[in-house]
Amino acid sequence: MKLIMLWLAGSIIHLVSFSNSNLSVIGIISSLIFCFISIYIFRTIPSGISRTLIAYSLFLSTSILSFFNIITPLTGSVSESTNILFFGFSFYSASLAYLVIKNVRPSFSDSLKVANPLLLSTGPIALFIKNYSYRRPHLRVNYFLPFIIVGFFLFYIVATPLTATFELIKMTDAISSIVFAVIFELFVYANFCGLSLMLYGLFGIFGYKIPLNFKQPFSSNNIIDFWRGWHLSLSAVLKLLFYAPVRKIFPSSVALIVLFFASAMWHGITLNFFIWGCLHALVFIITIFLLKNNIPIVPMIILILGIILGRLIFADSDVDRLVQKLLFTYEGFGAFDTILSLPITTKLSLMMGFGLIAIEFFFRNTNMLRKRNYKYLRTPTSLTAILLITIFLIDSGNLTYAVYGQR
Amino acid sequence: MLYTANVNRFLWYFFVPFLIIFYLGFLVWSFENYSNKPVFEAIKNKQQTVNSLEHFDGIILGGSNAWFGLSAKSLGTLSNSTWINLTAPAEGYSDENYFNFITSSISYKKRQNVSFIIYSSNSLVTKNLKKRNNTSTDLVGKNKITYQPQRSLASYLKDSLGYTKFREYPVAEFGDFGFDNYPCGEFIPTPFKPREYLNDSDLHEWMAHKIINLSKLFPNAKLIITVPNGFNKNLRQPDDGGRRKLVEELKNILTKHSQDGKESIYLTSQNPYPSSDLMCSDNWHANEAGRQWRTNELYQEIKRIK
Repeated sequence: MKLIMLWLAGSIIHLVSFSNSNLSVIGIISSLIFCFISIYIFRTIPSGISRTLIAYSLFLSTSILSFFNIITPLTGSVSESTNILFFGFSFYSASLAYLVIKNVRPSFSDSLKVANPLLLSTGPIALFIKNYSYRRPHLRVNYFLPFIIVGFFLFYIVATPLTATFELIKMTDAISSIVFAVIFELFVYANFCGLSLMLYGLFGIFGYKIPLNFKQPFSSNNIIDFWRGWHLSLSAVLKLLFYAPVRKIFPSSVALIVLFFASAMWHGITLNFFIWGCLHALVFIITIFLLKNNIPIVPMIILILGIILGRLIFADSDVDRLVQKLLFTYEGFGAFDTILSLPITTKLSLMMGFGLIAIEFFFRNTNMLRKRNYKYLRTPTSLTAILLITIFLIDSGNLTYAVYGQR
Repeated sequence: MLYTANVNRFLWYFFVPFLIIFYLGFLVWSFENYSNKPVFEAIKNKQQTVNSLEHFDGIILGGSNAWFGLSAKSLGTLSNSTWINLTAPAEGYSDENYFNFITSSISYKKRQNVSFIIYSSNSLVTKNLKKRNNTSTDLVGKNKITYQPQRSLASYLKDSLGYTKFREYPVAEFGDFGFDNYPCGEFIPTPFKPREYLNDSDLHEWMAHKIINLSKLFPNAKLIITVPNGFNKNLRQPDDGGRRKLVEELKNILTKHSQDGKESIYLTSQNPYPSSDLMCSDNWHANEAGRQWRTNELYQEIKRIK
């Protein structure tokens, strides 16, 4: 009963916050039906190879749908299912694959967890939804409300005004491409992390614990640390489905290549994701080598280069334009003129966003940041400052969407 | 330590809840007090202009591209008839708003006597169809109340300190744009602002909807659908191929329509403005000279249809 209530609450909040379309109701119901049917099938077939096969088929079905353009590539621009019946498919198919491969015998009530519309509208992938209602309500509010406030600030005040910079994606010279990649990295982080924190807080207040999808990824010394803080629910699925089984047979470098290739395929079947996957696998392997040989500083440098170059490639699924960008031609500093002509709210967002990333990075070894759970933003003083800035600046003038949303 | 704990308690149990309640109050206040005065005034003045005329032969419909770019007065002079300009900023934000605006501005009797409708909509060349279909914004641009205010607290403070400069949208004779009271300012190129043409399925939906509604509103009028254009020379990706495809598909739809025995709908695709000297600040809205240029071009088409 509680899970039904949670699903209904998720549906209502999703419809009010994310969508004006009546069609969304069909999408929400179809996702639930799909999960029910999938779980029914798992429960009827014997365990072993066939279940493993189904788990991989489920995970890779996202790539197949992407190939046929039923769901759009996940570049960070608006991504969606072109057919409403596949609303949230990439999220619940990954959740189901995770449940099956973990050899958990899913119950029908699991479909209510996996297909919760709020999780399907932006992630995280529902690896678990644990009952937390034994904590008294006011204690839950005290602990989880700050996550909502911080998430709201990141999403609406830092990320949303940055949509005004998106025209930069069309500029192909080196400086513009790099400037866009840096800003877009900030946008994706603030948008996705903000929504994830809001959902984490909201579910927590309702009495359920879901995965914390981001853990201060920029509080990192190297790319390995970075991935310990970025889109953790997807990382968990990829590790279980791809890294762990391959690692049993092959060296870790091969397992990493397979993992990043699978990640790229989940995001979309386009050339840019393939290059992005190869790049990150390479950076990861080089970092392991450097750390094993105690070579300092260099892992940090390739972390920065890897993130920027990775985002440049990730963001652009237009192959011709991407090739032009990767030629890195110098055509002056026109991109900075564009930045200077941006609205003041966008400039403030840039300053606040990069300020937060700088705090995450430079103070990563302090008590407040060491646990990587945004504690430094959840103190009463920080929350007061965040609320004041939010109340002062928020308006509905910009495009709002979830970067990982609804596909 | 004790002092810090007390401050934290004060902030968390008193100040943070106070800010949240203040924000909720601000949402309600800003909703009640929001007014898009320039658009509101423009709409009101247009309605007054239309009401003052007993009879008109032709009406220009559409959004700001047509308000800046087409002149009812010039068309009237050229064709020796009476035209009015009933365009609205952002074409009323939604079709429902716009068609309600037309019906509330002109009585059915007057609409029956209209012979020509020019309809120039930028929803053919920008990707705003979905937004228009789903918007909750009203005719003057006011949104329904949500958890985000339509204007920020900062912008209200800016107003109160006298830093905001509102520009009225002056309405001239026959509902035309009053350039005499509106300095256009320097032309600012926007090379990355794309032209995004409607795809085939959206176009069919668009046409069916417009034809049904406009035929109901103006049962005896010839409808001229105009695909608007801008100043394209500085665009990085003008996508001329996309425009050609759109016009071809529109022609196909109209050919099929005329085969059904209805020959009252015509299509014109306007040429791009030849110079930035004809533009009012941006590459989409004409200035007074640009309006004359575009109106003359369109009139040649009307003569052909007549």
